[in-house]
Amino acid sequence: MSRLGRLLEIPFMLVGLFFTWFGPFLHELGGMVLFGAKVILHVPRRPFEWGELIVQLYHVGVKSLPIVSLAGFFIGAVVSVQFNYALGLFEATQYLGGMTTSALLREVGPAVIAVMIAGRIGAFVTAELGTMRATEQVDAVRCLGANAIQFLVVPRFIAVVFMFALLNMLGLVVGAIGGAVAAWLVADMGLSYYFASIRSLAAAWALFNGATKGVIFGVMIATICCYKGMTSEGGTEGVGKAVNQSLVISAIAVFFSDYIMAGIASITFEVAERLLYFDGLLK
Amino acid sequence: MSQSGAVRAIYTTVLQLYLLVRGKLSVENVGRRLLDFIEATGGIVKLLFEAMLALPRPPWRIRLILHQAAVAGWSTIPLIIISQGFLGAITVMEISFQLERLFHNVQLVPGIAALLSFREYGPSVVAAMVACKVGAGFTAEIGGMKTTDQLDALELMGVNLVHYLVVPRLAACVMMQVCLSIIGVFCAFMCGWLVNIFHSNFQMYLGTATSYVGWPDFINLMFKSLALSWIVPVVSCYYGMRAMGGAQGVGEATTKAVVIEILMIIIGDFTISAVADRLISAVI
Repeated sequence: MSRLGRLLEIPFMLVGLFFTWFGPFLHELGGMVLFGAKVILHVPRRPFEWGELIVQLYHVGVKSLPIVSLAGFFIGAVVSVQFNYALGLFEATQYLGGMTTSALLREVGPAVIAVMIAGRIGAFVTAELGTMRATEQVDAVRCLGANAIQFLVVPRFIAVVFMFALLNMLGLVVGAIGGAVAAWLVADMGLSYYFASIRSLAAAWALFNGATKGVIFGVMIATICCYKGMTSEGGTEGVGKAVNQSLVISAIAVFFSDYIMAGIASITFEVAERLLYFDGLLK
Repeated sequence: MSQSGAVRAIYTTVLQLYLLVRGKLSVENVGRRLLDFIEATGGIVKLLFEAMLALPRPPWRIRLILHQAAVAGWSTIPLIIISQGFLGAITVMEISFQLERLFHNVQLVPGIAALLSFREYGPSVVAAMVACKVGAGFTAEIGGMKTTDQLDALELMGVNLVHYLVVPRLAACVMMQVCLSIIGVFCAFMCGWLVNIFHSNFQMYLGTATSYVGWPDFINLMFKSLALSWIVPVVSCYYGMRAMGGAQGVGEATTKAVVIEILMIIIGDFTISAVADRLISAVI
């Protein structure tokens, strides 16, 4: 009887384990979604913090320019070198330019630049907001009668989303150049030969795909980092933990949404291509 | 009234930004940046060599190494599984999409996907994930010790800081990152099969993959992750030991360390993959 009872307990234990692992996850996810919705609802409200917004745009955008262009160049170069090896196995290196540029614009560029920018901007935003919270500056803002979300979070949110979209495009363009340079220098391929296949394989639709991904990743990273910064607890040690967690969650969110968007893109590609090219909308 | 206030705020901030940018581009500032860069490069290389010299020296802190291995390896496994799983799925999806357009043939997809994951994602994306998860933690930990004067206390007690702090982390990271790369490649491979399930059964998938990927690629994976694995502990410890100015300084050091680690990983990855093939073809 007792053995049977113990056996019967097992499914309940599994359910309990599931919820002890899953409960905090759902709690965090719901908190993030609610926080993001709140911030987006606060965006069009007056008064706008123009000065703060411009300072944040400078800190987030201009200061990341060299890092993003350097990283983008080398990402493109790496993709080109690896595809050169992989296509060389099939004697199909004539498609190198198209394959490299298409993969870079669609997948590799946005994802790796997103991880890079999450390390640069997201950690910065989380650390700043978390330090403000640990030193009770957020409470001070609230005591003064200002809305903490409107005053502190909205400028950072807008700055991260806007600058992420722009930096993503910059990274993609520099990456395409990096791929061409790597094919020229490392793989000994003529540039005209490289560029010839780009037009047939990497259409405007690929660039649109990458740009959309940039916007969506930007919204997600901005939400996650502001949420983690505003909810960090436990003083200055908690700030370090919050930065770490925001980096990890951003990386997971980027790869997960990348997977979903790649699926949507590969399903809708033919429809979109037919609409854009064969029906003559973009000819 | 509020309109003119907004205009004034924009005007003043634009003026401030102009002055800031002009200051940034002055000769003095550019020179200081250059000196900082050279100093950081030298410091990181020096720390690496010090740690490598201190590695075989007698008080082997096995317990510390095992603790750091648990931090760097065991607790990173979920992140690696999730990120590499999705990456493997994305790779197979994208490559089958591309190859269908190019050759109207999706039979080679597992081969290229496994090749890319062995040669590229396995080492470098795992290293970037470890930088996000572990590197930030190392810098925050050591930076916190530095700002609360614990490093000075250790030094006063006659403890060699490099031997006590950097060596266990370096040893643990180097061992664990190779293991994590292998786990990550396995996850990418299996998740790729889950996406490809309508085109091939597992036998076909494995067969196509193994006809393009062999022992050389596995050795390539191990050596590449070994070559990239010192970056995370050394750079994190370097920036953690130089953190200044309380909690804010630790936050800045963390950001800087993570960014520089990811940048070094990307550049090192390119260098290795550009040089490796030439080297192999020159040797053979």
